Amino acid sequence: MSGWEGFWQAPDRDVIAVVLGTAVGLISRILLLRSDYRQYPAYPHGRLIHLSLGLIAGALGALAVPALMAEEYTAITFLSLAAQQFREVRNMERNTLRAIDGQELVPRGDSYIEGIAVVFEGRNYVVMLAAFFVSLLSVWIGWWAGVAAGAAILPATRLLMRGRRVADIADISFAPVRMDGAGVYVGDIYMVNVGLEADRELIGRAGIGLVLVPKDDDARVTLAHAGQRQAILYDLSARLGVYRDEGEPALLPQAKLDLATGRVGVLALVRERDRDKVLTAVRNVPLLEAAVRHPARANRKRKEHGRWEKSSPS
Amino acid sequence: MGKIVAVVTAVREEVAGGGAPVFSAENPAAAERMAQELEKALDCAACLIGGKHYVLVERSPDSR
Repeated sequence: MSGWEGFWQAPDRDVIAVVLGTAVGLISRILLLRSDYRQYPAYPHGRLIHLSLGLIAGALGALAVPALMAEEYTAITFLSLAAQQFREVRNMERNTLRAIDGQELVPRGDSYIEGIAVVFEGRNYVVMLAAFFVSLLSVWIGWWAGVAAGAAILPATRLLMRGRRVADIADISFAPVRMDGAGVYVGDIYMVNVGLEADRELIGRAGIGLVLVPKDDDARVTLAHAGQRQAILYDLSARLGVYRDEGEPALLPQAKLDLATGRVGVLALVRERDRDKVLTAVRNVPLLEAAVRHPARANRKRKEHGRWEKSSPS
Repeated sequence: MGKIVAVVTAVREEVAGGGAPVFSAENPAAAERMAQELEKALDCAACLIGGKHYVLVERSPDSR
C-alpha cells in the first residue's frame, strides 16, 4: 500500500483508518478478556492466543473498509476466512475445556463449556465489527471521528457481552440442611441418600443449603435444565472452594428440583461460608444459552378480544 | 443412572440374588463400618435402604 511510505510524515487516510480500527479492535479484545474467578484463560499462553486472534480480527475488520473503498470486492472473502478461523477458536476452547473438565472435582458440564466456547467465538466478531466501524468512520469523516467512535464502542462492547444472570430469574435464599434418616434435605427439598453417619455429620457441619425460587414460568424451565444447575454448582465451588476429594461421591454438591413447584434446592460443601459471598456467587452465575427458553411466550394464545394470555393454567 | 456395586447388610435373609456381591455383617454397627470401608475402597456412595441395608452406588460420570 503506497500510503505506508510516508507514514511518519503525512500518513494516508486509509492507513490511519486501518491503524485506528485495529487498535480499537485489540483494545476491545483486551477489555473482553477477563481472567475472572473461572480462572480461564489464566495462563500467559491462553491470553496470548486470544490477544493474537483479537489483533487479527481487528486488522481484518479495519482493512475491509479501505479495500471496499478501492473497489477491491474480493476483500470481503477474507472476512469469511476470518469467520472460519473463529469457528476454530470455538472448537479449540471446547476441546480444551472438555479435556480439563474430566479432572475437576466439580465439573463444569457440557452446557457450560459450550456456552464459554460460543462466547469466545462471539467476542472475535465483536472485535471485528468494532474495528470495521472505527475504520469506516475515519475513512468517511476523519480520524477524529474514528477516535470518537472507538471511545463510544469500547464501553458498548462490554455491555453487549454481558449476559443475564441467575439473580435475574430466581429469588435466592438460604435454607437449613437437615437429615431425616439417611435422607438429606435442603428446606423441604429432598437432595440425596447418604448412608453413613460420618458423611451425614460432615454434610451437616460443612454443608450449606440454598433454595432458588423461579420468578416466572420461563425461569422454571431454565432452572430445571441440568446444565444450568451444574453451572451453579461449578461456580459455587470455584468461587468458594470445594470440600471434597476425588473418590468421595457422598460429598458431591447437589442441585435438585422440586417437581411440584419448580424450586431448586442446592446443597454444597464449601470452604468459604460467608453468607454474603455465597449469595453473590449464586446470583452471578451466568444463564447458559442452552438453558434459556421462553415457552410461556411461545404458548400464549390470542383471546377473543385480542388480548394475549398464557395458555398454561400453572 | 447409578449402578449398584455392592450390598452390605446385617439382615442377610432380606437380600436375594442380583448381580452385585453381598457382604454380610454380624450387626448393624459392623455393617456400617463395612460400608464405610467399601465406600473408600470402591469410590462409591453408600446409601442406606430401608434403614438397614447399605447399597454402594456408582454414579454415572456426569454426576460424579
